[in-house]
Amino acid sequence: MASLKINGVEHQVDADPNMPLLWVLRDILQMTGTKFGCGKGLCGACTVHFNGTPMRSCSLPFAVAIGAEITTIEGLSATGEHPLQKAWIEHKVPQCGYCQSGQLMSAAGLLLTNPKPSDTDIQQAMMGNICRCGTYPRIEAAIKSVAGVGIYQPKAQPTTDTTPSQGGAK
Amino acid sequence: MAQLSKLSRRQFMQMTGLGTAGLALSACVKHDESATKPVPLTQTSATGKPAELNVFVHIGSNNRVTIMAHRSEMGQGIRTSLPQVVADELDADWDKVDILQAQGDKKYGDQNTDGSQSARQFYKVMRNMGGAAKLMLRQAAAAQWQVPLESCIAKDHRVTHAGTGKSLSYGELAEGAAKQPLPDVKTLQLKNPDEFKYIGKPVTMVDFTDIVRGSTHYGIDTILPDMVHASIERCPYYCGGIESFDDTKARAVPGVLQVIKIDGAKEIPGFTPLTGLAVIATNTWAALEGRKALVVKWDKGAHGAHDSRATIAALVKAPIVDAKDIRVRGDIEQALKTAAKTHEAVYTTPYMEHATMEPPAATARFTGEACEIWACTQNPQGAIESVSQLLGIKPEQITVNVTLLGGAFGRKSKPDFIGEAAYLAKATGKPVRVTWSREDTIRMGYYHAFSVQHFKAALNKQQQIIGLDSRIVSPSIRSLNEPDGRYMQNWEIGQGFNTVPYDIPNVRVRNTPAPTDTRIGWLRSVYHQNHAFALNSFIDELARLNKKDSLEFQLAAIGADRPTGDGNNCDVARLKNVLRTVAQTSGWPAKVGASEGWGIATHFSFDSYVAVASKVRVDKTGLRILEVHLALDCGQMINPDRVHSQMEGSVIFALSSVLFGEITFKDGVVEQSSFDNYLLLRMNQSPKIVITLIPSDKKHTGVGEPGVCPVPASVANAIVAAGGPRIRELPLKNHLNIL
Repeated sequence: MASLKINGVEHQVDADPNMPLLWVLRDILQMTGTKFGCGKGLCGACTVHFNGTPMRSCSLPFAVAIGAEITTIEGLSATGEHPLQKAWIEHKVPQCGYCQSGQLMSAAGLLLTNPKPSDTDIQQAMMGNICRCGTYPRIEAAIKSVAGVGIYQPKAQPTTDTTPSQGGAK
Repeated sequence: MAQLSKLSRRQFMQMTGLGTAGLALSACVKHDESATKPVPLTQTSATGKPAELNVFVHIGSNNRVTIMAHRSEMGQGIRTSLPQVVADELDADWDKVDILQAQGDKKYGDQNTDGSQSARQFYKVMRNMGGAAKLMLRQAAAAQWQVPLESCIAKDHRVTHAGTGKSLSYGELAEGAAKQPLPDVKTLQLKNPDEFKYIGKPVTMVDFTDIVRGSTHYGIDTILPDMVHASIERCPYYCGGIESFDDTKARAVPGVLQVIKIDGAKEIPGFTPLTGLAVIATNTWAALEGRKALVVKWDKGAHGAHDSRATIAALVKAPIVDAKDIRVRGDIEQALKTAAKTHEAVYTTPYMEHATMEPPAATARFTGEACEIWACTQNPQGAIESVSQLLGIKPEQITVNVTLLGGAFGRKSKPDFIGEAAYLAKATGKPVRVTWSREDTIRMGYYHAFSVQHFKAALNKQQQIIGLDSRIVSPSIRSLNEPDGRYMQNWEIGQGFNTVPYDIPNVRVRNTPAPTDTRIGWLRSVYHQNHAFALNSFIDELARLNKKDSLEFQLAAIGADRPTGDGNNCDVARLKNVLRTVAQTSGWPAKVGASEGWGIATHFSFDSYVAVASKVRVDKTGLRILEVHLALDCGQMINPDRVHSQMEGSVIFALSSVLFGEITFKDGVVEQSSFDNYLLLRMNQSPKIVITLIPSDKKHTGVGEPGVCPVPASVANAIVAAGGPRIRELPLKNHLNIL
């Protein structure tokens, strides 16, 4: 049994340490906001924050995440009011919406370290996230609209999840 | 069948609207946050059962209006736009409207969300539904107040009596309204366009809040109690099988529960599951790990040597055998003989895959009596039919819940993956979720057909096209269901190959057979995109041959205003208008920098008119797409913002196709597997995009697909204008480095 801190909440997880964080989130903790796209870190759909840095959870053995602060789309803000989430709606960014969790996490990660990114900075930070629907122009516009607005720090909610995990590979 | 006349036969209005079987779908809750996933789509509101005014509109005593979304949402905004129409005619307050996704059921009429059909088929139906419900609410008020109907005015979710100012909310009137006779559609007084409140407005998609919070429910997100996970190792050979296998090691992988063999079709694949070995496990990752430990010897069947590059290359050079005349006008042989100039070219386009970001995924629960399914499907009724045949149970025993679709583009109207889930649920006796991996998705697709297109033109001294001889070789979708489906179907050739907009006196269109070596399926704009690429490239070649401006040459070739006589109802005045519009927005013939050039193309498809002008730079380092201008005439628009976003997306989707899109087979097996060798356009490669939507009061026409068609040729033509080579074989990555 390992303890994972996700969105400020400790979760007890019983699974093979090699299982990628993505599948721990989705299949064991039933947090399905983080999406599966390729399993190889090529598309960015599964992006989460690992101590504030965007990482592809499909390629991250969950044991590596023990002791780290993991933030998923569900924890980007408590109320869905992160400036980027608001900008996404204002700019009517999504189409099918499937890749947008990953897009938002990559964009939020960028703004954490670079509050006023240039066009090139935005493209460099976002080129790892594929959108098949083609929402790139609006993603770019939405990021620019909040650039410099202020860095958003996800608030940790220090409670402990005591629900035993299910579906572990044992 | 979604017509009021049919509904009247159901005599809904003789019911009280309460507690009847017809209310099984009439939940008026959007999402019950406390419920275990998946959100039960048939849940009834705690605030009281809603009154059913017709299959699309329910009104609860809590004053909430529930509008059924019966088409599948895949990013085009249909869960918002069709309800917008209902709400407008109903004079409902959009803030008091809940959208409920309809299950698969014939009572909604056609639910196959495909072919850019939704607005075309259902705009009027939705207006009638809203209008009928509003009339019944007014009738209920008139009856309650004992006043003439004309004095009862509906506005903003209330009915008010003009004389006294008395007023009741829709919720208060709902039960009375449900007892009113169903109105005759012909008597409905629908709004004038200047009275529209939601139609034609950029209403925000109803799912946006959930999407940005990660709280949506796609096919891949379904979780049922005691559910197990399946990942399937499918036979990579078309119509192949399993010679032998050893699953000992797979079953020893922690988390793996069992391995189940699926026997797929040996001859024609249709939409049935493919032959394979399903690894059942407690989670997706364990199932994927289990697959790695399988030892399988495949029976390669008759297509084990399929080499798609060789197949296409051979068809370019093959002598004309078994040609079928599709259309003959005038005397093409004579025209070619007497021409001042002739020109010929062969274009090829490859197999492609849909590459939806959400891979196919479906969950099923089978109880012996019933099979309930949750899936990201474009076609829930098709899924019911398919599962019914597969499991040998009646359609009435099958329920299909439609989740959001994480991209679809035609892939998710094929229910093979839903059949897999149903089959495995029956075999295991447990709820099963089947999740396709990326590799499964790319390697086991229903592929967009390759094409080999031969053109020969005859030109007179005035540089006019007097003859066009064309021949298409491309595998038909009919091969899914017909063992010898070597010729294309008329509608396939009719997608812009037979139906050219040019005014040419001598025409011959022929089709020669193509082999079938894989599952062929429809992908966004289907055969149109192949044909639009070749035809628009060829017309540009002819313009250059005559040293003419490509736009002027195209406009001249299209000729005088007229509907084209090919049965496709193309109004060439509208086609020329979109061409002139992109010429204007792009500043055609615009000045360009060194190694830069513009290309232009147009295409009529799904009853819509689209033109595209693209600017590229081609130099030693490679090809860069700089700018793409697109003009669309799709008649009236329900939600202009979603039309606009579809056009932005169409440009990017089509750029992925023209630059990178290629599935190849070697030794019978697909060579691509993931996003490192099946590339899609990324943000840093995405050009400046300028969209112009032509205002129109004409009938609604297609939106989801037409935008992609002219993009590839506009780019290919721009490459030549920039001093690069004429590329007749897609994708461009095989010829140029893509920047």
